[in-house]
Amino acid sequence: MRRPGRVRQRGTVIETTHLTKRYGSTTAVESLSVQVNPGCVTGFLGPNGAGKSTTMRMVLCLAAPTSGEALVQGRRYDQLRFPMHEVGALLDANAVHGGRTAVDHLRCLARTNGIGDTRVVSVMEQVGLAGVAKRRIGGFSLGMRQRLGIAAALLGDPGVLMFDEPVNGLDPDGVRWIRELTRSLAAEGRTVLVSSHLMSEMEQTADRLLIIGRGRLISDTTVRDLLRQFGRGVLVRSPRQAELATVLTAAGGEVDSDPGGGLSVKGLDVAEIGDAAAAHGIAVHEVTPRSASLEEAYMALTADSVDYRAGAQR
Amino acid sequence: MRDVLSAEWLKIRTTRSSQYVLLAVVVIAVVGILLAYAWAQTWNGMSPQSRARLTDSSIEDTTAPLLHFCLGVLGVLIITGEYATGMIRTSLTVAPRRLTVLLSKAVVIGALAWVSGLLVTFSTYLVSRDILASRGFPAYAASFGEELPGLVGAGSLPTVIALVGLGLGAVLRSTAGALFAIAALVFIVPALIGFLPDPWDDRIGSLMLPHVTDPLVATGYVVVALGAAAVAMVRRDV
Repeated sequence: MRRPGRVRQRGTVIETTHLTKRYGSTTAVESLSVQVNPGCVTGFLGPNGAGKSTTMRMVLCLAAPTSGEALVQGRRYDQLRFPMHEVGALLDANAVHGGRTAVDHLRCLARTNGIGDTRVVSVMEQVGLAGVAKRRIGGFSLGMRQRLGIAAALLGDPGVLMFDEPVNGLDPDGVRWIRELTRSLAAEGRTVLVSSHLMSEMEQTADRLLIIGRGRLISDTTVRDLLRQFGRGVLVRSPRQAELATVLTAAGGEVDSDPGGGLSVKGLDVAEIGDAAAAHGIAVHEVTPRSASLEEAYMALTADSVDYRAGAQR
Repeated sequence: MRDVLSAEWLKIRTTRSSQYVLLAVVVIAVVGILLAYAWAQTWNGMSPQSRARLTDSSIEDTTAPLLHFCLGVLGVLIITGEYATGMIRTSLTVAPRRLTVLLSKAVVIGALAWVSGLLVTFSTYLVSRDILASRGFPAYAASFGEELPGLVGAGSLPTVIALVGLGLGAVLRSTAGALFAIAALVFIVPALIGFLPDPWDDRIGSLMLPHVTDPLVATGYVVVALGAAAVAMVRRDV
């Protein structure tokens, strides 16, 4: 049974403070301080090896931080009495005993938190595994295991969900399913943290982005802000290009001639450019906003972090 | 604790490896009974002189090493099975109190080993006694009442070995490593101790895992094994 009162959350739900993890001389996570809030999908983004999984494992107390702390609703995860009712996590879809059937696997997990078998059945239906409930997990594809992991995370109807690379191994149908599921979970007021190394995936799913590289926070931003920050202006073509350039500069735009012909305008949006041109009776033949793809923005950000790190070490 | 205990019970019931091991335990009981019939057949064909030279070895002592090894393996598998598959990370996510998880596993494996150890030991003894006592086998000369304490001890020893297996599994985290260690403790080391000069072979030999009769020594084995397991589980990342 869903109890909406429990789902609704306020304030910061997951909070890390100077969270650091070292393995010998390697630093996996370095002084990471982030907050994850309810009601939206937070994308946890970074190249492979950036420390996303390590951070999530520290939140779940699977790994102990070298220093700093990670709290869920103000408490350490291992202090939660019935953790499945508070946090649902999918870190590694292969972390299952292949000899068990899907339904037995979920029943084993459910029992630890006093969750009954009826809930197991309904969750299996929700993720589309009802038909293979009695099959052994060993024969499951990665996509089926991801669904099983999601089912396990949903068992306790938790207010917080953490998925580590959930679309790995899923077919396009499955990818869309995850996307819609995470969005609807967030829309219900839950806190949803989804990691990925693919910006293209986060672009479709996440509202907020936490981008990390080499264990450090590079950017705490939103998809829209990131696009604005890395936007490459608007391409404008006109038969009276020189006149239009003057007009647009006067209107507050930053105008350059584009290498491919035409004008590259920053600081004005399409409507403002169109209005300014119309006000001076200048015909325009093309007005195309050119945003950098998020992928490019992401590459630029993570590349910066690498350069910065190398520079700092010199 | 009760929830985690119930989950651990379900876990052991739903893996094939534990089912196979318990099947092996049943096979051991059957082997014991067949062995008793074989001994009776041999006895039937023996001369009176040979009959007088029967040793006091019993069927349940003969099959005991198999029982020890089987339940030691079960103790190992209940924990290394989780490390090998990665299931331990899922288990400790849904039940983050690691000592509770370890203790629940110990209770489940301990109870299972105790029940099966007693069942196999007593059924082997009773059937063998029925077949061999009338034929004058010295091992079955004493009354059931006199044998009872020894049988309870022998039937409980597999529990100790299973818990040592659990401890080794939690510390070593590798199925192969822990299985080798339990085989060494049950078979190899006691055999090597036999080569020590008198009286050390008996003195040290009686402290070896398969020969333990003193409850204090048995408790010592369990405390050391589970203590090491507790430290290893609490300290290490998974």
